[in-house]
Amino acid sequence: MRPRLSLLELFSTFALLEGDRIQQWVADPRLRRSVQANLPSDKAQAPDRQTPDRQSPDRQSPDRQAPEDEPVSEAAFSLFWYKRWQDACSSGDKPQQDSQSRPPQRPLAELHLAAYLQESCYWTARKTLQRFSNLSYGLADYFQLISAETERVLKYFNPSFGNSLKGYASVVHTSLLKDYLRQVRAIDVCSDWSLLRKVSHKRLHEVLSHAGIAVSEAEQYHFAWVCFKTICLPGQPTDQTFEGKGDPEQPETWSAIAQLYNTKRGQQLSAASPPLTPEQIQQRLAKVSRWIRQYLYPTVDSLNKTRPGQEKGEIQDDLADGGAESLLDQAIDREADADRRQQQGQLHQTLVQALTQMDPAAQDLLRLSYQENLSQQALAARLQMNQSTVSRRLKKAEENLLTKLLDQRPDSAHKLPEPSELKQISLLLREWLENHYADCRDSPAPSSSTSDPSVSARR
Amino acid sequence: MFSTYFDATDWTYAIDPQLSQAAWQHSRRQVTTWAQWNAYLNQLCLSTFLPQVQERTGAQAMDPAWADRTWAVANGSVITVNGVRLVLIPSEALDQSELEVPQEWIDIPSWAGDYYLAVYLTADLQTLHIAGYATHQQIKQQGCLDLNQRTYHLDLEALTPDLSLLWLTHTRYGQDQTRAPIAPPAQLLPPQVQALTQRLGDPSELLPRLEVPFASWAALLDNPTWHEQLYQQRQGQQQSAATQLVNRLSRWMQGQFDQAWQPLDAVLQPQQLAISTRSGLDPVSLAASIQRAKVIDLGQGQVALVVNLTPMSAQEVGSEEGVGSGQGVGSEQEVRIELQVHPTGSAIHLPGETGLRLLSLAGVELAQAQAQVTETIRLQFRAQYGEAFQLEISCNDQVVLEAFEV
Repeated sequence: MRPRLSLLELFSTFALLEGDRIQQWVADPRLRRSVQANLPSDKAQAPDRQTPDRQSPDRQSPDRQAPEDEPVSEAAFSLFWYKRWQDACSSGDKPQQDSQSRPPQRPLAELHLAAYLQESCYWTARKTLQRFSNLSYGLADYFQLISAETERVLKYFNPSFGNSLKGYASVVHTSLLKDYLRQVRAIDVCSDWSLLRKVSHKRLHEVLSHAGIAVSEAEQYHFAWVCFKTICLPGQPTDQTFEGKGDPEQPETWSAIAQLYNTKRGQQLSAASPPLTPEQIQQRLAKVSRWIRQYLYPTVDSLNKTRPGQEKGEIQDDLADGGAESLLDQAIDREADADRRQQQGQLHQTLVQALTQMDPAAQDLLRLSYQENLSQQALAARLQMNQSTVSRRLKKAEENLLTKLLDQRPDSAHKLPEPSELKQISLLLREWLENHYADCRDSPAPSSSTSDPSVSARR
Repeated sequence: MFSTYFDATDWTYAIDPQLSQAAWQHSRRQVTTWAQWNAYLNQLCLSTFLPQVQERTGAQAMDPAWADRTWAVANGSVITVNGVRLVLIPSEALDQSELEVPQEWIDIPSWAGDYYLAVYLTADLQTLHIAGYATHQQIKQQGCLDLNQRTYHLDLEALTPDLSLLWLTHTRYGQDQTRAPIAPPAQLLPPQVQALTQRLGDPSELLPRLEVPFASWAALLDNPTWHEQLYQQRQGQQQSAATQLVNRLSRWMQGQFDQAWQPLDAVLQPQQLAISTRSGLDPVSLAASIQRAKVIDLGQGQVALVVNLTPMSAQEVGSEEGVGSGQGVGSEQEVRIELQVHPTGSAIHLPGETGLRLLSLAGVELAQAQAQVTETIRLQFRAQYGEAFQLEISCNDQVVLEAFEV
């Protein structure tokens, strides 16, 4: 696979997978034009000489060029589009919730970032596949599942602590994939009625919307579901079977559900709605259960539909305001970039030191986890301990590093960031660990403790 | 089976089958199937996670009585760690898309917590996974309130996934950083409380928390006594009219007081305050004492009933008469209780002939004090934890009974 080098490619092309490999990069003409409009052409085409994500800060040569001549880093450009995306979201271009439930319009900035994150998605898919292979899915499926989830990454991304979009995306995507794999595994063993009990409110609404149910009707489905959950409950501690009065196989149960629904619907539903017979409720909820299953097993068609860059006519064309404020005019971005690099440098120093001070067993554990990408099971087997011990020790090691980071904050002595922003520090640590061990993989320098000489660096 | 798709860095815990059985048994005491399952899940959650927390630092679960009546109506449980309240919200959802918190936990002052943990149970109910946490403030400010279901929803991605951060920093944030302001609950008059309790106390009412306007529901649940009353009503337990409300003194030890029991200076005039605090206790015991006063309506007047609790040290035990089963040499788990009756307002003397009788639960008189035109009546005794008694305050022919459990 040829890595993308120029900013133009990074922000306007999408990967075409063949088996387990990226066969080629496909350009999207709208995105191309947009990148060129926001960068002078020489910068767009030139290879991106600064890739702070892949280099440790101490290997970078200090910049002595004048600000205007500095090449734009991919990190800076990604932040540029991120800000554009934020602006597009807050300027009232919310997805329309109308009765046809069309797919919401996506800002161009989001597509640029989706393109940018393609490699990140590929590596995440590959790593996760390595740790958790699943007979039904291959790398291309894993890749497809996450590359359509850009919005989810952007929604809670916070660049103010210096973590990169790619690093954050990798965390979110890994989590999404594991979550998805668990769900798929679980629905195979859950009965239809059991499945109905095991979806979140949010997922239910996604499923209803996906099935084309109008908002007003969705309310009724939702309340029927609430009534179902109140009455149909398991009869054993770990069994999936339902108990006597709440057994969905019994007609009396549906009568009870219908009664609850009909008596309380006036209070619960915002619009007037007809009463439902037990059979009607049963049929509706049976449909919902099927839709939930289908939602998790997208057909090939819908996968194609959600591939970024291939929608037609659903993109907001914001090329018009593209010219107004180009990247070159934003000297602030350059300073922010420099600041970030300095912070990263400090972080790097602190962590390298902390790592060397850690006891060898803990260092080894981190290495096996991050460098060799071993799953919890594999780690347990390799180290001859049970999984919960592995988990506990790994977390302790990371906590140790986290403590050092919390203590070395440059601002006033013991002031912590807001509770909701604390997680950025944890993300920074993760990102650093990933990069640190990826570098070790690239340049096979002797690690501090090589207990297993047969370990080979894998890419 | 379902523990395969977790990493070593995920916060997962295996659920012990024995705990599972115990939780199941305990949950049977609830009266509706929904409440039984809810109690089961929450108990599983609590029993599995609490020991893990206790390995790191001191932690207490919510007391069992509070747990029972909470789980009768809403999902969620509480662990207190170093004065910080962690609210655990279990969910069976297979998709980990959002944290869904019942509104009670956010908008009722006595329920609110500092941190809310999203706890997921795998499909086989054998593994617990804590996906992340958020503060009260975050949920209030960033979450969406579903007015029909009365739940706050926050995307999972907004939560902090790394529990290490919680352990490392929970003692460093004050409530001004973890909590958003909470409006005080509406005032409910006794007839309203009665009406609500009657209406919602019918166990065939399957969705009690959605029946009445949230303001009334919140006010009812904010008051532990009323909440308990509602729970008892739904449980179908018959209470004698006079002793429906049991004052649980053990909770006073934890700093939890019903609205009716106020600090002395809120109820007594200065000269009565002086009389009240004239006691024979040494300074150490005095400092450990807990005192509260309640205004009792006696028809032709009001009096203030003062209850003074002093946990006793091992030395003091064994030198006084005790209440109840007469175990001469007491254990360390004893309290000295002093009861006083004072006039309220600007009155110097108690109205008419006022009497105070100490009764066992069965109504047998254990001690009494009576006075005519006097400033105060006192009664002092010793009781063990778990013992219960009744107080009868009488004035002429008006009688009021108060029940207590130590």
